[in-house]
Amino acid sequence: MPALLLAALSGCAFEAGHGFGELAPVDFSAALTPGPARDLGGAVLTDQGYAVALDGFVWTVGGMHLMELQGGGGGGGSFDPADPPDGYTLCHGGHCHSDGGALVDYADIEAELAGGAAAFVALVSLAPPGTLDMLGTAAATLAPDEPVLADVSLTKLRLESVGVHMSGTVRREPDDGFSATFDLDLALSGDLDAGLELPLGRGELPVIALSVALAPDGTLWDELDFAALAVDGAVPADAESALALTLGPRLLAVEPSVTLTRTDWE
Amino acid sequence: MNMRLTISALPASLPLLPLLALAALSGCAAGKEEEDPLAHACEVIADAGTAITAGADIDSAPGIQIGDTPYTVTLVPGAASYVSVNVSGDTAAILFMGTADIAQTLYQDGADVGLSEGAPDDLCPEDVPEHYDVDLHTAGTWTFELGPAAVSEVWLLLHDAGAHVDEQ
Repeated sequence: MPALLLAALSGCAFEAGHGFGELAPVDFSAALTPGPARDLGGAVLTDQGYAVALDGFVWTVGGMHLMELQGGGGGGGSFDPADPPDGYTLCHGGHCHSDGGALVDYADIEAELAGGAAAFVALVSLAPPGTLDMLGTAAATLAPDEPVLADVSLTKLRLESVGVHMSGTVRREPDDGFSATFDLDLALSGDLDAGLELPLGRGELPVIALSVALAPDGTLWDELDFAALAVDGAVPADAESALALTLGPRLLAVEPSVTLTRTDWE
Repeated sequence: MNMRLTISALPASLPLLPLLALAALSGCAAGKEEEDPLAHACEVIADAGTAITAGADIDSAPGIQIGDTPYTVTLVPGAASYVSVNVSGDTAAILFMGTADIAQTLYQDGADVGLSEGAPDDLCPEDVPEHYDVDLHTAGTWTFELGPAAVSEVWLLLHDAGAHVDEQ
């Protein structure tokens, strides 16, 4: 309530037509989510027919940021999803299908259209969630450093990855006697991005609630032929190993899921 | 109101039911009704449709049809499974899956040509967690590889892209 009052009073400082909102503390959760097609109950089935049983999966992450696209000069960056720009076909659900077959966030297409000088700038940062036990259900409430927002259009959420530790045992499914262990300690520096649509400026003074989930699925180990990789019952897991070179990019491609509610949409 | 960001580009005040109805009718022009395949998939997700058993290899893959009727496919336990479709010419279709991470790849007359990246059906992402835009660009037999999977059967629908492509 005090924050709302503060926000209401601070509105006097804004020009007419410039709205603002209050960002509530963000609910954050993280867990490996194999999905029904891959969940063997205690192990994850891969597309190559292996069962990966983890005894540890810890993901260390840094800060979380809400970002706005700023700068550029290539035409403003906006586009109509019903009329995709060159290089894209279908657009729906916050993504467009590129000619190359990939799904690209609206925000990244807008940045591309806005020209080379455009860049995403963090306007709100949240306390780092820290070290996440992905085999449990890590959860935290993250307080924003700037809960009062003014006349912004936040289009990207970014979570900084720092590193991953993952260990376990792999066998074939159905079991044919093959078994190997692995112990991966991977410095994994990069950004986990998700599209966001949070325009403000209508003067509605909304309270905005975000829930963010980091939930890698059961396809992380696809295409790995563990029997071919294993040496003396262990899968090599150094930085240049096939395991590290496969899992690293896939983990950095995990897109946090975001659920947003705002009081002026009720 | 809880609202997933994946559909937040749509007017937030629109309830889902009218949205589905709108989508279902959006292909209608000059008296011709053409249902949006994404809306159709949501409507038939509860229908088991035609029951078939997948083949254990490409050569034994049973045929499915592009159309409005879904299939419940019994998968080969612990191994890859296959279903095929024959087309007589350039055909744009959409493969809808009732379970994610089962569709693996696509073969054209036995050659692996891959699948595009899957995405949830915007109109019912919980029920239809994946759909793939499939360009069956030449006449012949196209075969989908499914699994291996931890489930014994999967719901799928192969629908003409039709109105979906026209509108986008």
